[in-house]
Amino acid sequence: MSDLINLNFTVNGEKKHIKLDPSMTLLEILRNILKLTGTKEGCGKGECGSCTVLLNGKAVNACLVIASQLEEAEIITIEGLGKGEEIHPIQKAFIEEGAVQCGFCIPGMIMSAKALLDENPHPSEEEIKWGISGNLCRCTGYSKIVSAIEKAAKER
Amino acid sequence: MSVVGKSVERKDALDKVLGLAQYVDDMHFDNMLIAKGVYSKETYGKIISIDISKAERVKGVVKIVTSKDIPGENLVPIVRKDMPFLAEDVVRYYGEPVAYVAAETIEAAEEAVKLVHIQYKPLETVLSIEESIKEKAPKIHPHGNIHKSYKIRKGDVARGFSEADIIIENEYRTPHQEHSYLETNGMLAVPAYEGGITVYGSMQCPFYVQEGVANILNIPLNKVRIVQTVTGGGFGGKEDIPSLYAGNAALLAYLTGRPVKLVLTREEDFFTSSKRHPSLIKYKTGARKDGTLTAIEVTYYLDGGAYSTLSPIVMWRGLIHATGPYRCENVRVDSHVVATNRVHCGAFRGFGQPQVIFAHESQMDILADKLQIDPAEIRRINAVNVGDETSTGQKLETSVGLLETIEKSVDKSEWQQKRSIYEQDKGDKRRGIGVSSCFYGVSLGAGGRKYERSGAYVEINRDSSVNVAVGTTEMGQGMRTVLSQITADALGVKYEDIYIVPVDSTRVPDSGPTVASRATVMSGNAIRDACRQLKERLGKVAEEMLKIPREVLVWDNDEVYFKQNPSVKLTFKSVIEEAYKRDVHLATQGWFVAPYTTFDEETGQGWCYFTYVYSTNVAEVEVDMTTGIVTVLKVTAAHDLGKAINPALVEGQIQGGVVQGIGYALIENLLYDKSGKMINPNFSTYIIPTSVDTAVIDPIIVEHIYPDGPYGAKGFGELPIIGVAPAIVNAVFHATGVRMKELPVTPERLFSVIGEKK
Amino acid sequence: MRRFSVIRIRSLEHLFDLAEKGMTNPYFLAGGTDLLIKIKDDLLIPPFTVLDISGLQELRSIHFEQDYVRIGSLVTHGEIEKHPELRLLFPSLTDACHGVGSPQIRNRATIGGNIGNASPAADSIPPLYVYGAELHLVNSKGERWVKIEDFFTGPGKTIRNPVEIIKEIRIPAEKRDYGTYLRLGQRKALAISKISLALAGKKKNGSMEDVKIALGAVGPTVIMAVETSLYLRGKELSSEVIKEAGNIIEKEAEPITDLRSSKEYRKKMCSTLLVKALTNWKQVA
Repeated sequence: MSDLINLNFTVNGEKKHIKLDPSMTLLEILRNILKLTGTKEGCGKGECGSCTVLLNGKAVNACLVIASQLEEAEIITIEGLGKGEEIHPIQKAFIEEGAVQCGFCIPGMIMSAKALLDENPHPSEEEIKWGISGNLCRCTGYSKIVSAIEKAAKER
Repeated sequence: MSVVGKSVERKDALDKVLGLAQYVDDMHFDNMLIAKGVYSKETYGKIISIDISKAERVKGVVKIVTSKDIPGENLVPIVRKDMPFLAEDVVRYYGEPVAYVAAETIEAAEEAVKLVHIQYKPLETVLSIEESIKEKAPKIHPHGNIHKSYKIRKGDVARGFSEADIIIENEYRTPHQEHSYLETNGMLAVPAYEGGITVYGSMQCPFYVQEGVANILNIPLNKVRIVQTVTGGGFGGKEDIPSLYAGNAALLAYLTGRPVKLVLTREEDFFTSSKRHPSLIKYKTGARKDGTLTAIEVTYYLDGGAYSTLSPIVMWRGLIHATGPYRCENVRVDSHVVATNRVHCGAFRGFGQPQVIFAHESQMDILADKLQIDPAEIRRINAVNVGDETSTGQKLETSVGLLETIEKSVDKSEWQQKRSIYEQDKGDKRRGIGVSSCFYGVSLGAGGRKYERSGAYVEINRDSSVNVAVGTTEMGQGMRTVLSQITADALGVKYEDIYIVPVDSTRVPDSGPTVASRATVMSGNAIRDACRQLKERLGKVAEEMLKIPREVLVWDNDEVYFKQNPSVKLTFKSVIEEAYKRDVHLATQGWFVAPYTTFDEETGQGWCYFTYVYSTNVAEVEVDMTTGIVTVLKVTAAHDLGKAINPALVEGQIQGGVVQGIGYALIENLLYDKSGKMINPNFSTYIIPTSVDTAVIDPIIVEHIYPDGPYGAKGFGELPIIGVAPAIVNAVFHATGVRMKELPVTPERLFSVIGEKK
Repeated sequence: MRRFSVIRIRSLEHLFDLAEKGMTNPYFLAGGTDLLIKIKDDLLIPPFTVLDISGLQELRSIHFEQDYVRIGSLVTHGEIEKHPELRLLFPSLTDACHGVGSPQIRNRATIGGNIGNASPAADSIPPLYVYGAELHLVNSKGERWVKIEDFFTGPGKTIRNPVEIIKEIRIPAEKRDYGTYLRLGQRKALAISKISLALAGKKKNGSMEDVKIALGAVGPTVIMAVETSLYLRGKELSSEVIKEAGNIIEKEAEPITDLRSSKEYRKKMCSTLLVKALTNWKQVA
């Protein structure tokens, strides 16, 4: 519909220059073009948080951001969290605390946790709950997810 | 070093936290087409014509299928066949699939969907249980509007009521509940060689899907390969309906010769997937002054929606549990699941029980109040124990932990103290504490006897690592982990050495569906059978190597040693190496058939389930009297599940189930407009709990060993949601003095009843 | 509607040039959290053009001046909610912004977008009413200042011309004694308000002097509870006054029934929320 635009942005520390339709969502770019399928689509309408990624350090729903808004943006997805072989402390805490069940919400949940801890390294339980209040989970009842984030905060 | 009973890390956790787990939408094949459904915009109507000509001309559209294109039978095989893969002459609910488009791109598919023109002749609709059972109601199916009826008859209810000092009679209503698994339904069908087809997808029951695909394509089962992808939640919602999506994806792949991916949007999933049945329950209870039950009479209606799917057995399970986990000699229950022009209802965690348990646990609470007996005490007075009989005349022989769940939840929650403390609240914010007890028959029981067997294939590789193939599935509940623990202990090897292979119908035996908390017992026992056979073979090898009779050898922690002198030992690895040298067959099939169950439809009596799990929930709430808002403060949930193979997973099941129960009690509800169209088919209007809508949850594990289960386990998963809503509603009564008989207890409803009472 | 035409706006001049040339059905995209959902739901009739203004840095800042606080229309709810000075001056506004959607939504959704979208349930709008905000509207032909209460004409409807941009929101920098925002949603987070109340007020010699009350989600636009405010003027915050104010506001509001709540409940809750707000004020005073 529109002319394609040349987009320069960074994903997980890697510079990208791609030509694409400006109306394409960040979620479509990540999943379909860059094949970073760790970011999930649960609703497509910003209601579930499964597609949460960091955009310039802030948690956003990738389904509600389009290409034209991404010039010079820095994006971090679940794939960009660990360092090489080493997994991120939040990921480690999720495993140890048994915070994972079906796993579909987990990448988004971990990205929200990352955004929260980056801004507030020692959140209270209440602050953790509000920090992940945009991420629906239907399996866990959130209890072990909250404990995992508490644990990750302690061990940072 | 047993791993059973330990909270080992989940097998699948690492992949999932890294974002590496492959769900169906993460898969891609070259040359793949994207499918989109054309869904009915009429609630109940005759299809006059379907015009696909404009849609076919959209650039990129490769194939559009309607019912005419189906080479096989246009019926989804579930309990009984009444649901078409694609509507033929009639649509029976808004959203029913009428056609599917396969196109090169999703954009083309979506555009074509809009251009398929369907003409309907509207028919008079039936939109509620009350409308459906009216004498002159329009018929939705040729046989009428009753999908199925069942009954229980025990003793003499008239006599029972005449012996009662008090009789209470009430009507209860419960709403639809949508599973809201975070991953929507999705299938990817790929043509295979020699006329076969492979379908990858999100599902609980691959062998149901296999039958569905074979049916629509009219090809034998051996040409249909089903591969379960990592499944993002099920809760029953991926039991019946994946067959429909898989069938249609397979049809498109079959006719185009190309891979076809069909992944639903959230809205499409809301409109077309099965739900928890709404209910209407008329409940009459008689009791003596001392609280003992004398008679129970129930008429239980479920709204099955447009097609019966699993409704008959959902109804049956509700029926069997309709009187609660209590002794009562005189019982009469009639249950009917009826058709309406709303979305079909099927399996949802609890499976026909949460509705009727809301009713019976409300009744018990009302009795307690009227008789001035403590609500926990009235449950203790009537609770079943070993040696007691259920409403269908089944004698409970072992593993009945109900009383212990009552005691532990009451103690741990400080029930007595809080009853009196909360009663002091007189202001705008009032707290209350309530209790409920329930039980759950494990596995399918007599209602699903034909599926009550399970196979397992266990293979020890040359390097002593172990592969296990079972036909039950992981959907998040932790089955791969639990079965790995069972295998590790059964062989005496490390948990880390066990690998549960992906579920692929060409590699795994049909173990029946993964539903009804049955995987632990059914697959667990089949695995143990296989491991027993393998250990017999390995025992011969070890016996010769150690020169010690195999009867006194112990297999544990990757070693085999002499019972009387553990220093005389071999590593498991060395025994395997030797066995391979000797050409010992180190792979075998285990098999398990569930213990005897039966049900007589005529007498309404029978030995319904081979065992039951029990639970008691204590809920604490705070009600804002000025808004009607209920905040759940805490839920103390005690569950007898035989043996907790992995306590952390059990806790996770309880926490998740409680929060689903909070949603069911307070906020979740599907809404329909007057025409029968669902008006809140998404997460902004169908509200499920977020992290700040939860409560403190205190899980308590009670273990009354079930001798026929693996390591004493009975199974778990369904139970946690079942008793939550009534415990909350009973707590609301304690806080406010207001008895809510319809779910969900929204602020609007509660506030208006509080207002009436003032 | 998956692909649609988008123009990335580089500057206001760029926008005005385009406007002069004429465009088919232009829609501004700021944070995108409302517009993109509408597009996905097929609620915009094609053809239309999306004007992506999210890159206009000049609309992203907050200025504190002698008489006014000026908030750029692209400032997000998250930025407002966490802004310490705004919290001191306009607590009703910062509270309201905190209640919007989720952290992810608040990181994207802009105040200008919330205003332009004109939902009667929008959380940021009632506080802007009580603080007497004005909107700076700009287009290629010129500019105008509009009082917030004159801006809305119905649900989703405003006096704004299609290529007229909300450039900033100006709020008199006046310190009140009390400000609050109370809302009821279907759940605690991630919920659209089914009713909301913004209140800001001053006291003089122990009596209420200037109390402004706005109600969200009870009518086609946000409404001011004028009669209730009049009643409160000059009165002390006593239990009787609070109760009576509750009765008055209940009569003043004319809500409707929709899928989120009922008319009757909303009416009662106007009173409940006001009583809560005034009682809190009494307690902190």
